[in-house]
Amino acid sequence: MRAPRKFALLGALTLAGGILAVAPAAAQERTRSINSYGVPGLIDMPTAEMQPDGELVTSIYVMSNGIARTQLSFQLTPRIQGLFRYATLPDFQQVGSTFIRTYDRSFDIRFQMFREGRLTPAVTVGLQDFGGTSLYSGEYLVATKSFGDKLTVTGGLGWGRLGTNNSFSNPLGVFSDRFNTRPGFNVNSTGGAFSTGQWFRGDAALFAGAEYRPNDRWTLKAEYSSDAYLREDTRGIFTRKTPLNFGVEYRLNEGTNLGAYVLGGSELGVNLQFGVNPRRPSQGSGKDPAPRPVTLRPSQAEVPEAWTTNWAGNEAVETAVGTTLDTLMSQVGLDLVSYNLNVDRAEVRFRNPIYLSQSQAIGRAARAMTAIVPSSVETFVLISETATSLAGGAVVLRRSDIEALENSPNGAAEILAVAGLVDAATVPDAGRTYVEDAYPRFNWFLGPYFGYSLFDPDAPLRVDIGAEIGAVWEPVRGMVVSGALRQRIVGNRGESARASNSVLPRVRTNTHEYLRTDNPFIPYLTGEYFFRPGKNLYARASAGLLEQEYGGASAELLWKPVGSSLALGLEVNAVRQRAFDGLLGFRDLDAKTAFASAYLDHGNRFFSQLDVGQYLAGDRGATYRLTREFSNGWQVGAWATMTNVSAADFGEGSFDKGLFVSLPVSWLTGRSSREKAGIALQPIQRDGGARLNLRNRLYPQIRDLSDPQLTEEWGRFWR
Amino acid sequence: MSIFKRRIPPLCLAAAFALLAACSGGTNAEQQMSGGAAKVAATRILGSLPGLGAASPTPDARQVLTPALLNGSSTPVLLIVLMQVDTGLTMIPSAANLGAEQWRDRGSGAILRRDGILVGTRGLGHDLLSADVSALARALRNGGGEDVLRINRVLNGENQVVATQYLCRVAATGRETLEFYGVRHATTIYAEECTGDGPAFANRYWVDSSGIVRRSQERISEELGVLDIQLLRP
Repeated sequence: MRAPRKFALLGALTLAGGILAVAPAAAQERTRSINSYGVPGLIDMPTAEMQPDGELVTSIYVMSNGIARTQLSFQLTPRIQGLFRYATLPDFQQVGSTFIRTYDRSFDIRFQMFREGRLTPAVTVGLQDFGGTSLYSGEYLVATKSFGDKLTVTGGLGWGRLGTNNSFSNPLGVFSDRFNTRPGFNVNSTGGAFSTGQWFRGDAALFAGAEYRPNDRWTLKAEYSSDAYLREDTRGIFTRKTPLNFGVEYRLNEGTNLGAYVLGGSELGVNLQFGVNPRRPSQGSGKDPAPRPVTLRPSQAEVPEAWTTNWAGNEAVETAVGTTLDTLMSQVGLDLVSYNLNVDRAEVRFRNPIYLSQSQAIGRAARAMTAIVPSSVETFVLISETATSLAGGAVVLRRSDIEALENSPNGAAEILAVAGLVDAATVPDAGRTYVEDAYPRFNWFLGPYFGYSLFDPDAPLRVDIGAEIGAVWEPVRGMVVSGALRQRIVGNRGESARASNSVLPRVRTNTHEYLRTDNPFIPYLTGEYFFRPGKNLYARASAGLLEQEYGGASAELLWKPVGSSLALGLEVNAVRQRAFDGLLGFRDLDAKTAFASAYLDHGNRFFSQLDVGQYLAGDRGATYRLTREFSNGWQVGAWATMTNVSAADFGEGSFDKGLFVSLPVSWLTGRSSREKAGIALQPIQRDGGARLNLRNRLYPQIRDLSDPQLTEEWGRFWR
Repeated sequence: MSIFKRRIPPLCLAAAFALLAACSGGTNAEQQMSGGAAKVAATRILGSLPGLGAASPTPDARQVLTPALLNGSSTPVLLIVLMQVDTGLTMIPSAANLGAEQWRDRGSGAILRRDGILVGTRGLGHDLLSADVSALARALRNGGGEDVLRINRVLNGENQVVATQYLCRVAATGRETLEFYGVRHATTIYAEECTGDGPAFANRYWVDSSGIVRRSQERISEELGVLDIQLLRP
């Protein structure tokens, strides 16, 4: 039995290791022009170039014969690029005696082994469609050299699909006879497993090309393609007359290119490319209003009565200070929850609904405190809390430092050097006063919702639009009751006719049943309790209709000391599948899941998560998730799950995997906000490796409340 | 005790199913629930597109200022012109902490000045976070200098502080009598030419006989360009 799972896990770990070992690259700021497969390249052929670090490129390619592809690529590190592709070919898949349109999902990965030097070319090795259904699968080794500013020349060797034109026997055959033959392609296979048995095997072929940029806007491309489109030719979709392809591209603006190509002398293609780089926000460091200046205390020598300690214990004074502090903080967008005033120490706890960077919130809160807290108070303790009343780290600052370092040229580093960072659970409770409207809290909202589902072969994109009303009620600190009601107004997600053919318990393949309802439905209705059992510990207990498809009980415990890059968690759930009408009923399917999780902050904005346990269908295994985060809130990542369900039992896709992109609304508008918009690309949703979609898991909530994440963007403290 | 501290805005009910309208309320209406970040994004994107949902632009300060207006002002006034987009703003002082003056405009922008030299901007986008100009201030007092150290700090796209060092040559390049809305100042023009880790640039300072910088043209960042700062009052 082949061991695709072992390779996959090994591959994932190697990838993680590769990330950590990557040397910092010189800036390559220009977005490269891509080929029709979404990677930097010519027309069909790739080049050895990489996109700028962190660049996300999405593209759409349409050919005159009805072939179309859309891709999303991400430059994970300066040398590693990953890509997801969704392609469609007409009249390709044989069903009985007819040929129907097929939709194909594939992943690519590329690694730049050598950067371009003065005399040496850049060299990249790439795997195209390395899992999936092998429709596009091919491997290549390519070298690219630029001559001056305008001309770039590429040449390479391709295998698989890229080794079909004028091919010759595999040069790697000298190492082993195995390389001489390539296992066949099965168009009806369910795909999903890494086809390691195919890589670099079979005949190879040469390809070459050149790119000429006469000016900033126009690019001309020509190539000698090694892809003979054999399968398309057999089905009459594409008959090449020549292996030469030509193209021209126009750069509309930074990151956006429009290209037109002539392929094989017989077909036309049009390519539209959008690049965006989370490391280059459009508004720079943002347009947040200037902060209130620090209010300096009067000189103690000149005005000693201002420094009196008589006010301590005087309730009227303390209430007045608290009320003013509440007002000052809400002017900068923070909600004061509680304060604790002593003669020489003041502690505030607040919620930060708008600043993506907690250090900016703490800086604003510190400035607000200097304006009203009596002069005798020298120590400030600032604690940011989540919307669920969980506090993580406490920042302890001396007021004299705040006054002295406000406009110091190196102020951010200097105030960090003198800041104390402790666990908020160790800060004593005695004397804490909650503001009047701290608890109970109630918020409601009413607005539209958008739901989407992707990759159904009958309709690759389905959208629902409707109205949603919801509310959150926090009667006492830490207890959160939340719920929502939705009503679809228009949409086609309910039209999916695919019945599940899963041999596993139908834990996730009944999703389309939930989308059929035309009546109001409840996406979630839960009562949850969040608290800190002690130092370094966070806990959650939830019960109710936890998500669209399941209701029951869930409990989670997280261990994360202040300053630790590693966090460990345990989660246990006992749930029952909900009725398809999305109201209060249940079906007969019970599930118990339990996970032990490890979360690691690698330090260079990469985060790994490993969950080991039992999934909804009763299968057991592990999920690895890698996320790259950008300080301005962008997240791009991927996950893969391996369980003891065999690829055959899993069904199409062989194992659960996906990509996700999340972008903060503030990135578009320049104004601080913690809202995010996200998309998850999950090629197929089957029943293996399925987890609950819980809204309030602990780690994502508390991660930036304490260091290392808290202090990573400390430059924003004085911003 | 009613837990509803805000009345439901009547307009919200009427617009309940308008596609991009969304309402919220509660004990703290600042918080928007994540009931559709997409709708928020859409609303804000539309608002930021030119001609759609933008507030009426504030008039350019240079068209509004008159000598009478300035004479009637009780505070010092700075006129800032963003040369790249030819927009003028006025700013008045809001604090002077330990030698660093903060000046704010009517909107959300602010600049920081020390010894008459710009040491920071806020709220303008692509801001200068801080500038270490102690050597430059000394050079201006002494009439010039060579190898004058300047350290500019900005927040890059990843919210990291990036410090760029420059060595500058400060020299007097001429004299000019400035006239601001009827008030004249005789000044010496100093040029600060900087080269170093980042792109080279040159700033200019018009310094009067008492050492006050009456006017300066200072580069903030590549995206924001040069600010022309004029001290109109006193």
